[in-house]
Amino acid sequence: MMRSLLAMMVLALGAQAGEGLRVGDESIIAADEPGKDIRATPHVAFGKGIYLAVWREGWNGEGGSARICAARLDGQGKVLDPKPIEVAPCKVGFQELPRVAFGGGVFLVAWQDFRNGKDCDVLGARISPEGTVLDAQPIAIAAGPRTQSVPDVASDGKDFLAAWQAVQGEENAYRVMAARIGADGRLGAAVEIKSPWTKAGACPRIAWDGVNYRLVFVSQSLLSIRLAADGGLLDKDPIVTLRGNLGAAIGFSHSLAAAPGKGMLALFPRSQPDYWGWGGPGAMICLLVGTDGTADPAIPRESYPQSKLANWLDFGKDKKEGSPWPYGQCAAAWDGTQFVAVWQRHHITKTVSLSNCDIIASRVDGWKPLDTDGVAVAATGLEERAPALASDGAGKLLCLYEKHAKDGKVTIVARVLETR
Amino acid sequence: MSNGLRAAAVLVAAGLIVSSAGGGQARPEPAPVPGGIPLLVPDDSAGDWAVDRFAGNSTAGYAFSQGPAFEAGGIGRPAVAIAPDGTVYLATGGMSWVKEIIVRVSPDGALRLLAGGGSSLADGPASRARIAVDWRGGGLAWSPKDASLYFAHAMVPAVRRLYQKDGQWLVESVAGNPEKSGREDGPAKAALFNEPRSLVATSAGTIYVLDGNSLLRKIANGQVSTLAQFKGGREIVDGPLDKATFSITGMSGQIAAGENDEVLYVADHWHFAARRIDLKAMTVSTITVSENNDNPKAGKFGRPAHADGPALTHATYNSGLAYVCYDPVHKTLWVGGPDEHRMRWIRDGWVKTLTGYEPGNWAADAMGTPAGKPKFTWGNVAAVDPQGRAYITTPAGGVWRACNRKELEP
Repeated sequence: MMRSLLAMMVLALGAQAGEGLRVGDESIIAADEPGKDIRATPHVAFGKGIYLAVWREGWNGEGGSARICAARLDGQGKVLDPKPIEVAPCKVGFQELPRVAFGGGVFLVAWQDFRNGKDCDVLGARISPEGTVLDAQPIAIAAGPRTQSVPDVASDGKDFLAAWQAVQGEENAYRVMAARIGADGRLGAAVEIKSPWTKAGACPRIAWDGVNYRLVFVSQSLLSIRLAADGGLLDKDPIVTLRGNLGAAIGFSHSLAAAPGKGMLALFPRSQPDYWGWGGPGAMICLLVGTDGTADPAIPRESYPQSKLANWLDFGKDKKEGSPWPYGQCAAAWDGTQFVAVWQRHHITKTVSLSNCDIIASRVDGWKPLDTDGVAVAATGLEERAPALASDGAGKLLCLYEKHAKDGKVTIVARVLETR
Repeated sequence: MSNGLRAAAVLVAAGLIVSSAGGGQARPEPAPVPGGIPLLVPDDSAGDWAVDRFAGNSTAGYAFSQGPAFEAGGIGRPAVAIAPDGTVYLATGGMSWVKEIIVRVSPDGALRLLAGGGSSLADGPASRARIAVDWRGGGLAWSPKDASLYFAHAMVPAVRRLYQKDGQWLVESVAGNPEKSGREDGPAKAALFNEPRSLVATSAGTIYVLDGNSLLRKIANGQVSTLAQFKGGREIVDGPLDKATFSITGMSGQIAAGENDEVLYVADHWHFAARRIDLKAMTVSTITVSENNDNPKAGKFGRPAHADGPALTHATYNSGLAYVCYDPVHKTLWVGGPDEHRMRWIRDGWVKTLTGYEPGNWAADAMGTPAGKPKFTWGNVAAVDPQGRAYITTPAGGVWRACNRKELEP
């Protein structure tokens, strides 16, 4: 109770701070229907004056029929589609992990789809800024045999690039794939991105840096490669952006945002806590990836430091009950003059587990956080998780997240962040 | 590699045989083997065993996905429980030691999500539930009596079950209050648990729970009772349960089902020992104990960690004894320390190696690999199915299945 009160005070102070990052009121995107109160994994993009929010609506487990839903919000965060748009109605299987980008006057939504009842495929559909689904039949971005999953999409302003991970042929190792998709919905040929060492790769994230696409993926280390607007590979091999066996510290949780002409901000969490002290400290880490694909050499190198480093957004070391510990999902966007990052900050339980997740934000100058203690976007006694972020490029951003009630109901919630 | 070749290789590695240099040159003296027994003793059947990837894919990253089990991402190192029909239940996702979703792999190899991802601790749909399971294999157990999957983790002070009704998966607190910890026996719903984390379900529906570091609790006929409060002590004391000593601290240790409903095995972590509790006689005996307690100079024979050999005199473990898993088909006990790179069991009073001879990461596509070839780090046998196949979990590799191919051939 006391913690919730303090959190609300911090939130209020943040909103009034003025000079930094201001947090707007909470608006609920999907309050009632049709997913029986289960919603997850929001994502958001901005284009033509509106934000398009997408999320998984419903249960994606056995007996479930989760669907990808979408809703438009105006620049002030007002929900324009109180009844969500079902992106790809289907009577069988489930859909999950949606991602969205805007380009060429349309939004492209991609997700992993289990309609064949055997394995995941990556499908997509375009949505107009007016909220009309333009593809009655989804675009089969990757629908061959075996598993294709974990999609991401980005746009050069005209067309799109989709990326995903796939198992092919008789192999059992995942590869990263990418393909251009026109704003008209036409799908280009897929290219395979090979790790020069293991050949395997997973969890791709892509962004457009004003000249090229930069695709970042995990293959023991964090690797990156450039692709042209037409989807062709520009580099023979990926280069190492961050060396190391990143394992759980990065995996699915990393995120990427591009600043035209300046490079990209990669975000990822550090270690998780555990009862025995194997892990830690916890941190949310920023890397500025230059246009050459390498991380800024001025970024401090770490080896189990006991205090917050200059490129760390957040820090957790104390295993006492209630202590903060950043971990898990994060997101970033370029607001026109600087990066803004949002991430999960949990709290340690008596048994050194994580609970009571909040959403925290900071502006980032290059790779240095400007709001050194973080600004609370959502910090109630409830679980607030899985942040997503998009910017209008002029100082306003929309942050989405899951809000979990004690009875297990989940709503998708939005708040406008303002940086100037 | 044939059995004979493998045995020879092992002996070479152990320093017992040095190849002839030829030309009548003097042979170098073999390296002494502490205790006179090779450090690695392959089981007689080791050459018949093979290992397959079963669930999870170490190249898939941490995004959970469903479908063919060995293509699934986000499996990590799960807890495992197996139903008599061959369905394998995994508690996975989440952090390294708190597993937050439950999936099942049906006999056809399809992996589907059953529960988790929510935040509710109340009874109700599994889709809204907050799941917490201890990964070490002790926090998940299938109960044939009520066709339910029981689960626990120290962070939620209740014993809960996942079950199916009218096609829907539901979660229910069977005993304890998930939002209030304590120590109260009595009617199950009113009872309190402190940190339940390892449990066993018997064929009669009785649930045994390791609660915290020292309480052995029993749930039967709707009542919770405390069967024993383990005594601590540096020295191992066998005998009556109320006088026996255990060294289980800091969320270590685990209990496992035995050869019948009246037997439990205990990974007595800091005694470096596997113990057997006869619930009928209420007595404790030691099945294996590390002769050196992790210190090569301390033991009678000075054998380093991970050594095979007679279970009560020569075998050694590393950083405690982390797990026990009874194999009802082979009538053996799988045992291991937390940092082991081999799968070992106790047969005829000896600890012997079955698979995983070298440390290292599993190959991404190793399927049907002969038992001597797989490399893995920090593995443990988490469960054995009715056909005698052992399910091995590793931190990054998901679940692997080792089986004796000769036994499975028609």
